Amino acid sequence: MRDASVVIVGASTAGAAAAYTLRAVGHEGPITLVGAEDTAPYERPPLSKTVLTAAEEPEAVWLLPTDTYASRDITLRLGAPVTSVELASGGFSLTIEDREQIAADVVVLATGGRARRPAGLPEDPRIHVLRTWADARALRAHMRTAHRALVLGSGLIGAECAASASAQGLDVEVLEMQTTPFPSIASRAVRTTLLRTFAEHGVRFRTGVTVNNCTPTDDGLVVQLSDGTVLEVDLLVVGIGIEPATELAERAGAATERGVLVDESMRTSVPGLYAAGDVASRRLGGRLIRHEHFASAQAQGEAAARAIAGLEPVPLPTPWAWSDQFSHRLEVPGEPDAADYTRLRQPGDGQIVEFSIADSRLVGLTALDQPRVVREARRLIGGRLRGSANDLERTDVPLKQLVDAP
Amino acid sequence: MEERANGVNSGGESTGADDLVWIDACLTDDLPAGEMRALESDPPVAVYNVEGEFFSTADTCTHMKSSLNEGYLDGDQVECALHMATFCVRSGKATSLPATLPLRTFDTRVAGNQLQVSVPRAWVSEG
Repeated sequence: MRDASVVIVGASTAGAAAAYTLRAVGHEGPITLVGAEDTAPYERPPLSKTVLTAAEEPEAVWLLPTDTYASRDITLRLGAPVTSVELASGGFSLTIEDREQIAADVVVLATGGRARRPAGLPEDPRIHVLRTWADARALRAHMRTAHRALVLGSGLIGAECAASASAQGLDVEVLEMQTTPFPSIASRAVRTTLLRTFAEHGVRFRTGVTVNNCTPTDDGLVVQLSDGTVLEVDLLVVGIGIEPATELAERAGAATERGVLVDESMRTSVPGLYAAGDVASRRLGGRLIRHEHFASAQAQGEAAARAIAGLEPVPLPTPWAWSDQFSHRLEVPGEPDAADYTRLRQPGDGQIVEFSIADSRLVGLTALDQPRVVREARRLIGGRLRGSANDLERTDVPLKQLVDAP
Repeated sequence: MEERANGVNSGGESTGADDLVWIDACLTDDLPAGEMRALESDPPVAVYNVEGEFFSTADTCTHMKSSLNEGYLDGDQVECALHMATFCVRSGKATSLPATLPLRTFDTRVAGNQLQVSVPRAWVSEG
């Protein structure tokens, strides 16, 4: 398979990692990386952070130096939305925008997802989602003239957008339909500290409410909430998650379940068809997992490449998500959601590590401004506790003395 | 004087025509095995002690310009604290994504109890 032709759909973190790794492990066949956007593969994490707060016109951060594609003989096709992937004799036939067919022996779907929008929200340039470079540039430009921002959703993207808007001097209010701000963060201590920081910056939260309707006017947006409140704002950011872009996989006959189902080598149910990144879901110990984070996307792209090259799979690394909100760095390695119980360590003001434990094993942690503990703990996730879980609260004992390496 | 040239200046930003100068990095006793530190050059240079062998590279991650000495040294691999890119401090080679470009490397030597590094004169000149 060293000379197989590989087409990677999605010029994304997972897609670029797959292309780069294929060449790095000696794949000799043609590699084509096809992207719907006009921009070379770029990093998404800065879109909700430094891109929004940039004083000067921001520049994209490239995933790979832009001369990498030519120097490694990777064909980059940009502005080329793939509209179908079909089985053809011994391989696949892909259609780009209903006009052009390309053939492939192997296809990697790194199609990511689309930002969700609540039903009934009108199309208006003052209503933003944040997924692409174009989205981020439009939002940044609008933030520079707007005064009042409403952010729908307090997941990582919503929270980062709210922090960035506040840092840009906007008056910011956040709506969370669940009863708690930052509901995706497993640690209550971390949520409380973040909420305090947001409040110190004047960001207000309303929880347990949704948007009933939104009416564009000459002066802004009139937003009516489910509790009857009416807000007038200049811009609305919708940050309520993504829908994985599974259509191509479904049309090709691959099994999907809240994502394109893959094994640990990113193989779908269709031989020769792989999926990686936000779009890929996996069954693991009875749980269905789908990660929407940079490190997972990169690792999955690498895993797909290794499998295509016929190499032994290496275990996927421990998941690791991070988020920068005001001066805080939130890091979430592992799977805190899988915890039976937790133990809290608070070494200093605002510094928090909450350890998540299941079956006497460390399964994840939620940490605020504790990079060194996170780094140490990452290698121990999955490992069994040596003694009492209460010892995890101590700051005077190295973690590796408390948890066996997995 | 013990001299050990272990860098090959094969790094990505090498211009090939730099005027190099030996500078004192630190006392060898101040850089125990497994540790690293950055020198106050501009741009900064990092020195590493890998089980008694000294190495030196640029301190700036080639991915997003974070300072590598704020990361972690594990054997001969330095890991960036920001996004977990790793580099071999012997060769400067990027050994894991998201970094792909190598770090520039610099020769080191031990003069008495001083660790010295050969860096571009322009990186350490005043003003």
